[in-house]
Amino acid sequence: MYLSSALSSVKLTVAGIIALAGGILVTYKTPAAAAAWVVLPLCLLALNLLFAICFNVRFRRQAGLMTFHLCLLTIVLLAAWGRLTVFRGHVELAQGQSFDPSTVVTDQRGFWHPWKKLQRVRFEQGDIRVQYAPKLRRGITQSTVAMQTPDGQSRVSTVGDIYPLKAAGYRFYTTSNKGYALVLSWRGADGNVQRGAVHLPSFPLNEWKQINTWVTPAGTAVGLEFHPETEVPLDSHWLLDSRNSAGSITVSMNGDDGVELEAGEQIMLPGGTLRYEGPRMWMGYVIFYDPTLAWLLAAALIGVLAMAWHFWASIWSRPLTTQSIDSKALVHGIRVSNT
Amino acid sequence: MAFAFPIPEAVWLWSGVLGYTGSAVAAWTGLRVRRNHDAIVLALLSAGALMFAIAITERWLQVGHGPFLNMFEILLSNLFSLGLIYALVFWRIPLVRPGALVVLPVLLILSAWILVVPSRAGLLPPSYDTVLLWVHVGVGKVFLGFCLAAVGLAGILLVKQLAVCRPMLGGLPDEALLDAVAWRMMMLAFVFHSLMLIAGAVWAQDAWGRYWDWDPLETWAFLTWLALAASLHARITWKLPLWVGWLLIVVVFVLAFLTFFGVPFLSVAPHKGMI
Repeated sequence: MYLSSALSSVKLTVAGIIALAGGILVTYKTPAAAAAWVVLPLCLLALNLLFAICFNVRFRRQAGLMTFHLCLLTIVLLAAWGRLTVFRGHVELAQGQSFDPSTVVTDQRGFWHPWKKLQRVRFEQGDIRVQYAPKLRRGITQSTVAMQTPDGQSRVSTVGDIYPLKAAGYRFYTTSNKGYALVLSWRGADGNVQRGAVHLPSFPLNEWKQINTWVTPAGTAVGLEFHPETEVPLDSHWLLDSRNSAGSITVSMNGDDGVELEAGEQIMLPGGTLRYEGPRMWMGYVIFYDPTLAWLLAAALIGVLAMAWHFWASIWSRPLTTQSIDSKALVHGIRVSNT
Repeated sequence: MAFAFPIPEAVWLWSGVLGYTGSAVAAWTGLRVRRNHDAIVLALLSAGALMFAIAITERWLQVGHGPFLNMFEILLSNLFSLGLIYALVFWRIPLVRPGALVVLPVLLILSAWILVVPSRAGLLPPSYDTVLLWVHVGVGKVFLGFCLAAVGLAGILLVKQLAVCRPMLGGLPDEALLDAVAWRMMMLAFVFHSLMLIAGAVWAQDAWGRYWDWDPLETWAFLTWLALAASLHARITWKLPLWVGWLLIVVVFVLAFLTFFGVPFLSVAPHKGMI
């Protein structure tokens, strides 16, 4: 009895809140600090709340207050579930390229994340447009994607910024990371042709070094430098548009001056022929998965409504005092005659 | 599209500052000469808020976006919202009026501050172009408005405890009564602060792909929420002396003030690194 009373006490709640605030400050000041600084006080508060619900009759009688705290408990549990099933990753997709889950770089994956769900995502990257204001301040990003519906139809939509692509519970957010990709064809000595794209550093951030190296299927390392046709204006509005992608490349080996190729031109290299098909653009996406989002929002909103109802029903609707207050007799609410 | 205005934004800004200054002067002189200046205080406060509203509108039409980006815009919008909310509370709830002696000087501090920060406009990031930002910022301002009304009462009650101020403030209504009003304001603030956190999380999910990331503003906003929650719990758990409760209100307000005006100021943008 003593234990249940102690564990359900509001004093413990205050102690738990102070501990949580302290834990947050520790992790805020020292990001490397263990998550336990926050998790343990949260567990204590959850336990405290659970005991209050079970053993505090007065608490249970106040429906609004009780609902609010139940929602808080739900939020903690949902957040924990979200951490266990969360997925964060990133991927780069060139125009015309289909999303391939095997190319996704995982940044965070919950223990119970249903990995196979990502295999269901099917879409193809289309045109990319990014608006810029003077001084290269990035504006609206528009990325066209062709989604494949379960019945095999293709549905084209434009995503970007606050409008992510939503598929199979995943959200694909466009990022500031995007740039040019060089589409190359390689014809080997055996006559087989392979086609692919080499992504260049983010543009226009790295406009001055649109360079990458690539190893041919025959094992020769070549340097690729892209020369975009259009210059990036610094003092005017500007649209980075994948439909206007054009430019030549310089193909170099062993640090030589290299050979410049226009789109459609080719060069003989050891073990085969390299053909420059032309430039495309690629878009970097951040991928996020958390199945609890809608439930978290619902629990939070119900909780706040319940709290407001509790405050209204038990506190605000009651008169402050039975004694009437003549506001005219007050100077800014201060009774002059009494002084 | 840019519009040309016959009266520059600075004129409205200065008019707003003068309105708030006049309101504060009226409040304090009213106390000193023992005359009821409530109507003057309310009129000047409302006029000041109106001037700030015009300044915001003119700036909005000129730069093409609302006051969300830099410290100048944050101060400008808060001078308007805090003045408006406090004027409404002052008008409808006479018991909060003693708090004007504290609230109006706080508004004057913000007024002085806005006059020295750069007013150049920035570019609204695409992630700010959403109704969720309006909801988030709107309920946040209502939270701070109620918090300000509460700290006004708490502040004047604390000042009254000083022996030197007791003769001047001896006629304050019953302390327990003002304390109850102050805490009602804090309860309202708690509701709106919770809504601010929810709307902010929904916005952050859309804007940056995560609903919570412990950035400085999120962290300090949550610490403010915790401080408010702890204060409400402590008040009902322990029979705290009234003055301790008033101190708690001041602490919550200071935290909220630092979150609104300190953290964004130190981190250049409201959510550091997220634009």
